[in-house]
Amino acid sequence: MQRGEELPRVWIAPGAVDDVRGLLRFGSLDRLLVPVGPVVAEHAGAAAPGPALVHGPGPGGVEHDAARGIPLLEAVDRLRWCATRGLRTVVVVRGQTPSEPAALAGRLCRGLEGDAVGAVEVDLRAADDQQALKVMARLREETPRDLLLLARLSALQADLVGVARGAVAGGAGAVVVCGSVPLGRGRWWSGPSTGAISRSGVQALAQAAQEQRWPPVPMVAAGGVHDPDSADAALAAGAVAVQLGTALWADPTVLWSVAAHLEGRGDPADRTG
Amino acid sequence: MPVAGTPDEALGMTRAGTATHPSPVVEAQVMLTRASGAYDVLSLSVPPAPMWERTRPGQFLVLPGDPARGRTLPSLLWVAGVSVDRIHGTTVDVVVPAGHPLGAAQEQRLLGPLGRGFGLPAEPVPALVAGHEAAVTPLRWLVSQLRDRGSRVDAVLSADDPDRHLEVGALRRQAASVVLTTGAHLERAVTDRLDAEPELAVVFAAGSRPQVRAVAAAARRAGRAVRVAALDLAEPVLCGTGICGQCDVPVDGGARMLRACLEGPVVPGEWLVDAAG
Repeated sequence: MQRGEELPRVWIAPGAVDDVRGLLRFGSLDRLLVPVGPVVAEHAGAAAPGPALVHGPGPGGVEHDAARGIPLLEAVDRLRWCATRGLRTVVVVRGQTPSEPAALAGRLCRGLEGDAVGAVEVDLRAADDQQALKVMARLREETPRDLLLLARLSALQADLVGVARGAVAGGAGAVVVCGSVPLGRGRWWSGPSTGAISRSGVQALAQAAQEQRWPPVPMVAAGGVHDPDSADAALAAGAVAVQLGTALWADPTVLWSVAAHLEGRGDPADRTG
Repeated sequence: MPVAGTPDEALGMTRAGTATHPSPVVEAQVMLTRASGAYDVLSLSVPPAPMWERTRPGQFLVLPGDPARGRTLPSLLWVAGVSVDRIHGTTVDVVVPAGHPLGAAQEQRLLGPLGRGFGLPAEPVPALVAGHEAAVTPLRWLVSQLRDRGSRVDAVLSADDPDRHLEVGALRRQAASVVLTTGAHLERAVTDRLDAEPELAVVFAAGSRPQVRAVAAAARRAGRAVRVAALDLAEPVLCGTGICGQCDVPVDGGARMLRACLEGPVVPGEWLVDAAG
């Protein structure tokens, strides 16, 4: 999909949903963007690729490691799997240097299955504004012109508005505001209890946009969305779409119930103002 | 968590292969709760559907979580038995820990039956079933099916608390022999049984991952075919729908990961042994 095009109302979180094959048993993914990734470069001594290790559930969430990601070859396989089923994807890339995410995304977009890439998301939760600008600019250079690029930000980032400004200046067409709580040593807390955090991030960015402190782009609220009511709350805070992650572990059919609910709400532009 | 409409209805989406893959969303009514040691055996009335006639031991149901009430993860339940009766309707049995909220529920939304169950041998063959605590649930049903097909069945059951042996009395009426042991001695007991009964041709096992791997290794050493449930429903973090990846097990000598809840849970035990070796 292209920059400026209306975003799907519901997205699937790439870290939480390691493999979408299981979801297909519960409904169609035709109108969604299927996540592929996080795609990571292979480094000597790096952890073996695979899903995020979950240390345990607690009231309102789970404590987990960051997703270890998948290598490029695995990403090509998954992209092909999606392409053969006519599914559009959002490729999620991560890297240790500013150019790594761009290189990975570029390889996938230029490949035989590149047509299946509907958007690219890059994780900027640990970046500052200059790094965000640099990473997004490289990504923009390596990917097709006008392909939608999303920047994944943390609502708890020290300079959220500055990083968002850098990401948009670098070419981001939308931002994903994530409510997961960093616990240190690569661990995160995610789940329904983080809804207020992601909403606060969305509200902070919406406020900053009104004050013209960053050029606003559509926001996707990620964190704590687990039913139509929590999706409504995220949209009321200023998001135009929501991303579902651990909520799908509890009940994968929530994906379609939230999608149906938000489809019924009509154009988000009609609700604002 | 109540959800309006089925996923199929949402957005007017059409499911691929609807005719052959009916929606796995089930509205069940809890009809009967029966105490059995550390467990409750529940009978659920479900809408009749062809999938229930095809359900096998080793398949499972997902009891969705309720994030709004702090239950972040779902519960997974082995299908303990299915009764399809045109007059009395379709009934599905499940086993839950005593005091589980499902026992007090009247209606419950479930996902399933999911997964690949135990395949029955084409010809009657002497078989050994080995399981630990609540994982015996699918084996108990399997024993019944094997007996119906004329197979002799021996059983080795382990539990770390006598209360956690699931309905041993019923199993004793069907199995040629039942050996009770503790979880730590399950592999030893299986080995002894296989040594003592050379005619046992196939082993079916369910339990924790290390246990089924050990049983598979013992069966392989004894030269017997082995099928195991590579999913331990007692583990605290499982989605059961193939999304989270927490049930991944290395197979093919560690060359690839098997997503047990999606591609299994029942797999040839040799796969696990090869991975360990």
